[in-house]
Amino acid sequence: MDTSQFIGVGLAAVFASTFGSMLGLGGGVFLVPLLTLFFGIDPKVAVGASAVCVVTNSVVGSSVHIRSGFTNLKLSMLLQVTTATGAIVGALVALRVDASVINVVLGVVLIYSALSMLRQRRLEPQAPAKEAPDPLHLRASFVDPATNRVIEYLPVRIEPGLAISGGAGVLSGMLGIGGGAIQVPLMNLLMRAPVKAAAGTSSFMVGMTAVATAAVFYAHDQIDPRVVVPAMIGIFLGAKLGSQLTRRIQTQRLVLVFVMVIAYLGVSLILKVFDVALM
Amino acid sequence: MQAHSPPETANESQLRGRVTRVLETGFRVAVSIMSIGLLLALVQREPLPETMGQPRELVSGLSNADPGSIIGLGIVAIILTPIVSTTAIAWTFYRQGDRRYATISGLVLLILLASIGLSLL
Repeated sequence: MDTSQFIGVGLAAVFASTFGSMLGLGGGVFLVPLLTLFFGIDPKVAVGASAVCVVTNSVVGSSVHIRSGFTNLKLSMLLQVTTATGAIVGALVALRVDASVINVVLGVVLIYSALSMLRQRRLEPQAPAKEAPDPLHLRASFVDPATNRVIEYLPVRIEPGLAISGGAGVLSGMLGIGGGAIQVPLMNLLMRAPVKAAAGTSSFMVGMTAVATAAVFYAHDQIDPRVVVPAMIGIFLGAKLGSQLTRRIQTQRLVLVFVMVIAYLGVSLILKVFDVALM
Repeated sequence: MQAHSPPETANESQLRGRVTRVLETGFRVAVSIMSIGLLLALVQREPLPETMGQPRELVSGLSNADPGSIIGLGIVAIILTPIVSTTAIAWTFYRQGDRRYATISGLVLLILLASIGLSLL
């Protein structure tokens, strides 16, 4: 890897982690396609590097999200039981699957995420009734600095949430994307957590999920320090920036941009399998 | 007018503070180790390795102050940070007498450790 590629991978990581950290996506959902499409890096090496970067992004970004009160640690632990289990299955499957299959699956996941985020933009959960049952003690609140409002919420539909979270784990294990692209819409659309709480909680969870993925790729010599080192430098810068921006910016305004970027990357990856390149 | 969040309990505050400290310390340790490795690689004009090397190679490289192995150790440190933070969460819930979430966090920790164990088999 020459100096220009080193810098290029670093800049790609800044982009991936800034946007990833803002929406609790971990950044892998952006980083894997960027590394494979623009730097010609083998998808498996890209997924391995991405897993390490997702952990880094989570570690850096979560410390800010937890301080801000966006992260629901109890909810994260609950969902993580099925997510981490799914990630082991997914990572073992990924090592036996052809690279083009990984590209198609990632492409479909990206398009799904884009559509989900488009829906999410219009839906913001209402505050739960004080007397609403909370057997798992998941009720939480935070001050949204962008609007200066106290947001109270109570996650619901825990059982289906756990099941879908397991599926997110399988995909994250296969793709090294951390699973946030599915976790955020899941928590927001199904479990009725506000976008920022979903993003903060997901940001913490994706780090734990990616640990399992990173370990599997490490054991199979698929973590390349030539890619990981510049990416980690970029991730550090982007994660700090992204988590600070989450506090200040109204997330809904950014969702449209993310939808366009994610949809573009998703379509590009699927078309790449058929040797068709988008600009 | 400044909005105020409903008061956070002492337990919640303790949990948040502890997890944040673990994450920040883990990141600082990992970056420090990687920086030393990078600096050594630059001084010795050694290219970065293509793979991290398996645990035995990593240990052997570290005993020879090999820059690639030192960078690899930094990567291992960042990968382990979420595991340490999960341990801190489980321990904090246990100390706070929240058996349900201590058990759930402990289960998450076990699954994470199992995944690492399985991958290294």
